[in-house]
Amino acid sequence: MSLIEKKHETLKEIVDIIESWTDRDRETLLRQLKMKKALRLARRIDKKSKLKRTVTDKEIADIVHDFRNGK
Amino acid sequence: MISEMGNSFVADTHIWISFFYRNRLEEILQKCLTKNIYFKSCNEQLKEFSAVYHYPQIKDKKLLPLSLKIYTDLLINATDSYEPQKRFSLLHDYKDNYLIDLAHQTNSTLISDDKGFRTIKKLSSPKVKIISLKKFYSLIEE
Repeated sequence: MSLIEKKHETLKEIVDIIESWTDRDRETLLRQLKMKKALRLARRIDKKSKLKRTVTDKEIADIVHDFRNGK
Repeated sequence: MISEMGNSFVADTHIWISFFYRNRLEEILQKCLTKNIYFKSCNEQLKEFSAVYHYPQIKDKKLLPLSLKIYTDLLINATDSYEPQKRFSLLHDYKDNYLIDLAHQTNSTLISDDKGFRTIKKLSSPKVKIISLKKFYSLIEE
């Protein structure tokens, strides 16, 4: 068996395993993969947020409230 | 306490901005993972976030210094997408009605400190639990 065939075999096994999962299992895997990416992005966002944070959470809520009211 | 309100939450757009503005977003998401808490979102929230991103007060105060794509990518990846199937007309054209629809139809707790939701808290239908950001922080710190 060539290396490519072996890889195909491995891929087929992976697909078989995933296909044997329930919808809930697949949903959990997808959520975990997405969250992994989200955590990577979160680290980037946190790094950039080193500025002095003078705006309070309440002020942010009020800004969005004003936006929604077209102010 | 979390078991009382389920583990599904809808975070108002201003809550996401607060998460992005403080430099502890990774820590918050990690805590949510540990507590099996997950967020719901929808296209309308992405659209609203994109519009708010360009709002002068957000720009002037440099609340979101990175590109819009980074924030929307995070929103897409940190949330489960659900498109509300029907609309309640509760808040006289108030633009965040979609959050009530989303929270109600996904059986989620809404995290919001928007003054516009004070009326909703008094209504018996649709029954949507609304908590403050402070309360949410205390839940994940428990």
